[in-house]
Amino acid sequence: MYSSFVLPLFLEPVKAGFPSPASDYAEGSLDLNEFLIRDRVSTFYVRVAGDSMIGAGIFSKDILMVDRGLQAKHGDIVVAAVQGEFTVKRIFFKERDRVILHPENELYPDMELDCRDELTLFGVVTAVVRKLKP
Amino acid sequence: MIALVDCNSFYASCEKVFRPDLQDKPVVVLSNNDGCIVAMSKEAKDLGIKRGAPLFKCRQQLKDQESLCFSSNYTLYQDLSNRVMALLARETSHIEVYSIDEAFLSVDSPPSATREWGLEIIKIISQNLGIPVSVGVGRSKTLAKAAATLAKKSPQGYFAMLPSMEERVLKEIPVHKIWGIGPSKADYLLSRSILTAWDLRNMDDWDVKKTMTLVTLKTLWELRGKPSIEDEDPQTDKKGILSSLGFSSPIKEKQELQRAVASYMSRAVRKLWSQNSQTSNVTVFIMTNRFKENYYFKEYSQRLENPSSYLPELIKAALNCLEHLFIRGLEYHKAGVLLHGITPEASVQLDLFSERNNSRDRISLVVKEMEQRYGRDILKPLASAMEDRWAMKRELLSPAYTTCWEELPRVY
Repeated sequence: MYSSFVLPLFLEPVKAGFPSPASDYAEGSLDLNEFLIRDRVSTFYVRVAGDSMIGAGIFSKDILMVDRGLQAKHGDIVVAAVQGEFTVKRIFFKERDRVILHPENELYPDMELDCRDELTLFGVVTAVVRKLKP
Repeated sequence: MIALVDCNSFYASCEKVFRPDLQDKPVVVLSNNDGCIVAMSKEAKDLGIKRGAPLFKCRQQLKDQESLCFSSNYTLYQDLSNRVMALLARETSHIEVYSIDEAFLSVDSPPSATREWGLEIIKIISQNLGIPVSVGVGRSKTLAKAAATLAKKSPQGYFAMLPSMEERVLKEIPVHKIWGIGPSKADYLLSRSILTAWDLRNMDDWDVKKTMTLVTLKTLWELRGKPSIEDEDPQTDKKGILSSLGFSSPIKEKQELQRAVASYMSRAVRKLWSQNSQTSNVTVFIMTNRFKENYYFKEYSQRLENPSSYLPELIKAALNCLEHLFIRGLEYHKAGVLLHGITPEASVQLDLFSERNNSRDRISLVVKEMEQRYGRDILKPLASAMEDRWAMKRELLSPAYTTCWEELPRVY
């Protein structure tokens, strides 16, 4: 990713009337990559297919930012490999290596799995990207 | 101490990162133009499939095992390699990226903590990228390399050859397995009853220098624990951009080499763009394995009429340099592109044809945007596209999972 969009941030409040002598100087800039990404090296993007997470504001065709460097915590939204397929779900850890993958959509059931052999965690979802205009 | 970090079955491992369905399946990766196997996963190795074998010979065997063949997806491998190297660079004060899947790291931790450090590296790369690596540690690069071979066989993927273990370990290593000892050198050594790494280590310096080469003498010093092989990349001035990598298997075809050089140039030009600068000189170098007989290294530079950051022009210059370097029949091990005489875009004098330059700038911008949206190969200089005879093998090419918005992995 070589293009990053840099927006200038002006700390000086805008005053009507005469201009502030300091307003010529931008105080910094906002970089969405910096805001959204903890670590570029371990962050991957994936594309959502399906509506199993609409309750969490994740819709089909959304892009998810997935950080593989983070340890998944109870209640995190994760991408995991189950039966040879990537799935995005909320994860709950139970006793004795059991985990629940919980869809945020009533139409889908919870899946209870053994985290040693029935699932491989890919990473923790840290952001959703959805463009409203093409 | 020096560590060699080596990615296990790198190309095949990359193909598996975004294909959980292939986790325990045999995977092989083919060269782009001749359908030979250039890399394979552990499962494929266990089937007895050999590197370099033509696909048609093992097609049935692979089919029976539900295994998958991929065409080399250099875009993906390069991206994951960059990530591996970036993570490794955080764990050391000095890194030499030796090839797309190997790097030498200086070990900064005290001897008592080295094992922990090595195992931590394996864990970091595995968790962050899903790529398995092994770590070999020794007093020199050659010893680290030998240790890495042993590390691959150990369950944890780590092996340190401590000075006290060198004698025992080196006595077990046949001379032809030593880094830098090719078949003909090995034959010569065998004829003189030098059978193991330990025998070579104990040879007389003058004898080696007289009867063999300086390179072999350096290998001998390295086996004694004295680092003697310097970093491979040519020294660059601070204002230069170097894009260079060893190939994971040697390249013989000119066409393949052209593709490699063009892709290194694309990488270098991306750096150039990110610095908003232009270059006035292009240097290309190619080399064969420096440990083998008839070692060949040559570089050729071309000065541009006007400083440029225009990719097609720079690729053309690089390919032109390659014309002066390429010799048929050699097995190339590494190539690189060096940009020097770099100036900020603003300070470049505008010539009378600045209008033409404007249209070039616009083209560069469009290329950047199109590539991000549709993938690296959506637009390419006509010259290289015309030669793309391997396009028909594209059905075997995996998506550019990490570099193209249209080809991201899907999650359900």
